[in-house]
Amino acid sequence: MQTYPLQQTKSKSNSPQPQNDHIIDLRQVVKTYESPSQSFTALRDVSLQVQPGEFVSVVGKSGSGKTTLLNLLAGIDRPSSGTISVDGTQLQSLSESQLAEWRGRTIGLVFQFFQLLPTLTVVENVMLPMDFVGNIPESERRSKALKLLDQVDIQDQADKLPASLSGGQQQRAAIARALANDPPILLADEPTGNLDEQTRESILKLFAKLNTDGRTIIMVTHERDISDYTDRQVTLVDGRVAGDVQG
Amino acid sequence: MTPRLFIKLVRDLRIMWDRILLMVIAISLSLIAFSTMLYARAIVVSNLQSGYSSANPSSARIVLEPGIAPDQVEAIRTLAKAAPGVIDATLRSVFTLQMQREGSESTTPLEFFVAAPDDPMQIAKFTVIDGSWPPPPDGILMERSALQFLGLEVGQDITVTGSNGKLIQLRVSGAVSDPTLAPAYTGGQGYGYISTDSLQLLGKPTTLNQVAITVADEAGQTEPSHNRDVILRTALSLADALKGQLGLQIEQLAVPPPYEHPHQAIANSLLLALLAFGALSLLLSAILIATMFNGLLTQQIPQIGILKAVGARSSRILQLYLIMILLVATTATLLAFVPSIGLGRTLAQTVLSEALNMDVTSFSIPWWAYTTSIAAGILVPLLMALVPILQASLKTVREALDDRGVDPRAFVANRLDTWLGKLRGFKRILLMAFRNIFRRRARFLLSVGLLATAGSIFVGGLNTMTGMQAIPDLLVNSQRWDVEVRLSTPASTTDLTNIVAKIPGITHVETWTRVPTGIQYPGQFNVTRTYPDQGHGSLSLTALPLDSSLFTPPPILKGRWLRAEDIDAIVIPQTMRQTLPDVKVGDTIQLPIEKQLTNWRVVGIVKELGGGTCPCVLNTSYEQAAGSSNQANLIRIVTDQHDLESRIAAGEAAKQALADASIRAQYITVDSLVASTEGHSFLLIVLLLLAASVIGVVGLIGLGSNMSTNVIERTREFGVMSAIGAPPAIVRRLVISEGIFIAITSCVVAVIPAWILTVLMSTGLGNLFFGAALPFRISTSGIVGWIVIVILGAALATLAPANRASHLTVREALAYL
Repeated sequence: MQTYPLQQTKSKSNSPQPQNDHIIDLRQVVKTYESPSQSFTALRDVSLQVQPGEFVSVVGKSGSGKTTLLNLLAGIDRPSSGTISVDGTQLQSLSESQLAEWRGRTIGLVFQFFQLLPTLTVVENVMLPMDFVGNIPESERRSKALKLLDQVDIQDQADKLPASLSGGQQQRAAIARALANDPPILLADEPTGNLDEQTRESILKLFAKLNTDGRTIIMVTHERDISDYTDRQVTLVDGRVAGDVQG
Repeated sequence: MTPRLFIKLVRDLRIMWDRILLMVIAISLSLIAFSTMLYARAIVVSNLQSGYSSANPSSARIVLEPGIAPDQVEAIRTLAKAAPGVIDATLRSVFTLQMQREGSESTTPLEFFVAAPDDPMQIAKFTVIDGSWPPPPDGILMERSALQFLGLEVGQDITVTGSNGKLIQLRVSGAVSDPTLAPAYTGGQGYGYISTDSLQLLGKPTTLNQVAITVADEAGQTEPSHNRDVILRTALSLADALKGQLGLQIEQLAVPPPYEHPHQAIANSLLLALLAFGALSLLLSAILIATMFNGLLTQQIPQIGILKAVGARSSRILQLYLIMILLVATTATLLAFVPSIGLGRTLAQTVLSEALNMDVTSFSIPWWAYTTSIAAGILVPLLMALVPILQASLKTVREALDDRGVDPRAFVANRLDTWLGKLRGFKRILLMAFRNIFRRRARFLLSVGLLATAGSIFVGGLNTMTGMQAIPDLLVNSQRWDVEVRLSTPASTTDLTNIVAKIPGITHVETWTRVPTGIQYPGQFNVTRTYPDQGHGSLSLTALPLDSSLFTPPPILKGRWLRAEDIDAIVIPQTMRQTLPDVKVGDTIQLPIEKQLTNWRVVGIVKELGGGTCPCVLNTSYEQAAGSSNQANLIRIVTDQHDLESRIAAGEAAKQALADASIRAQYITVDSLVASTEGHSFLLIVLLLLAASVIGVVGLIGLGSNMSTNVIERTREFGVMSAIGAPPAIVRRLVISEGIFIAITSCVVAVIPAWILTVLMSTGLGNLFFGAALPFRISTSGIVGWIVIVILGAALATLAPANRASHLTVREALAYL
């Protein structure tokens, strides 16, 4: 078993952070996929803790278990064994529906292929998670969504359908949607993987800015040279944490 | 539902409008088929009861021989009405004469219903719709279906051959409607209504010979009984009284099944066929909905993943798609509502007028029929969609997001596949198409199931129809005569043969005997189930030569056919089991013949579908039982040309030659026997064809929707193929090959269900119609037609989506969500 307890790290975040109070806490997590012909272990005995406000990048080769780790953190997949606590909630104890509600409140998800609903406009896509959680009064949802779109610099695209936006704009819309319920944690799965170099930079800057505002961010990426933006880089090799570097 | 989900729902429906429209049309069509049948059935059932009862048909008729003069009528009525259980009584007569057809030498039987001019018309009523009752002595009121069948109009003259052989002209002075009679075209005869004042003109004695009575369950009641045993008991007791007190001779007691129209069996068959097809179209619709919705959801599954990823609970997803299907189902139900009512009423009217000779008195459809139809329209789609919706909404986010329409794990190479791969010359593209169809087994099974169901019902329906159509041909094959000459009294067989055989154009002659009979009951009256039209429910015994070359014994159900050594053997038709439900081979039955009671040993039960000849005995046995020798009253003739013209010519010549020898005779051609059989099954054949066509159309819509969904859900896969260099033509060929594979598989799968369905429908309908299964026939044109339609349909249905798929850019295809 490999454990990488959180060390005192330099934080690029200006927000106050309670020490030893982990917002994410994985202990001895194993994830095995069973298929009729064989079983495949994607994560092996992974233990990982993340402090509030950290910006963590998870890197590794294809098949190293990065996306599996992110899926487990988002509660969209369940571990075969081990425990996962996110923002004080033990995920293994929640049902699918409870997980969905919890995710709406706690997690903002950003995907490589944006995953915007094609038949809703950009602003409607952003308002959708607000509808599900219901924390924000109906009358305020549009203005809040527009503010978020403004924050990601695409307010002028608010009433367009996703298909008419560029890749970068769609990813910004997806980030705005992830922020809809003001979740404490953002989980991003290769958010720049489908973008050109220039757009990639601007999206990474956007994430950095969101982190500066106090949000915890876990970003799965192929790219190793994003340390300028992140506090910490966790490296996965064959489903194990092979490195955990601050700064 | 949240506002954004509602917006998504509306826009999704708008984007998928073509598939949603197909779904609405398919549900609507099958619902129209189901509701039409349901409504028609409800209307027919309620009208059948009220229509038949409105004529207050007699419960029983006591046939007197000889008839009685009009001045005795009142005494008999008084006696009958005083009998316990008799509600009312009147006197009538029924007889048949031949009517000349305009511009033709052929004649048509015209049945005369006779009543006294002052008959109170309380029993066996008919409605005068043109002219007035009674008609003048040289006038006749014609039943309206007979007017139509004979192509006559009120005011025209008709010529009939009177009982004395003279030609008599009668003026059609009006028209009546009589709902207790089968439509004239089905029996190939006319119906006329005259008063006793016309009898003399027709060469008949001015007498009435039937005491028609209505019977209640108990004395004092006024509602006619539904119980044939009660009616029979009352009629037997009255017959005793008529015989004992007034000294009248009783020829027969005719007690038809109470409250049953003579075509009740046909109506029942039609109604059963309607209901069966209604249920089958609903079943097809259910499979269709499951298939279509499954396909529709496949496209939505990644979006379900996104919805869940941003916080939607499973219940919200469930709600979203349930509302979607509810909208589709409600729209389809609303669209089907008015056409179903209209078609249901039209169908009911057709069945009532064409099969039962009745007017529709009320078009009202009971509330339960509406409720059933609406419930079927809304609940069936909801229930059928529930499984795919539940499956989709319960998918985990990861499963949903990863769903690309095809689960690669679902395909496991098997021996067949490995074998196929080794085949030389088996093109890779065909191999791929073959493998593809097995990748989503549920979809494949649903697609094949849908087409196979539609195919089996379509082919099963057409097979049954072909079986029905084969009956007249079977009849012609088994009865190889051209003309049947019926004598009014028996004559010497030697004389008959000598007279008829020498007529030019006649190649073969046989002399038979056919006599009316019935079932003898205690009290020794001859009892039949004969209806007032004298045809339906009547029973005749045929005595035929053992070596007859004009008659092929019908298929034996039990026992055997007649043999030379038989003395008292009889073979009865399956329909006789209606009258004698317990009769079996080896039993002895008593039949009155020529006022004598005779005993017969049942040696076989045969299957006769239309144009029945049996019960049959040998000529020799009959002569022994009847105490006659070398006598016959029926001549069967074979002509050299076997066409209608030569048959009529032979019939006329025989009739004339017999008349010259002072033998009065009528004749029928085999064509009229066939026409009568065809007339009875015509409506059912049309309905079977219609119902099969509706099923076929619904199946084809399902095919189109299914194939396009199949392509849509694999858009990404086609993108990948294009990305690795597949030209559009290859993608197109792949998709079309898959469609054709599915179509062919469905045809193979449909073989056994179609066979089972044919057996079930032929047996069910045949039993209701004829008391025996219809001949098993395969409709080659139906099968070939369906295979061509389904394969062409599959190719055409996949062409448009295949084209779309082959022209997508790689980027579009890969980003497809």
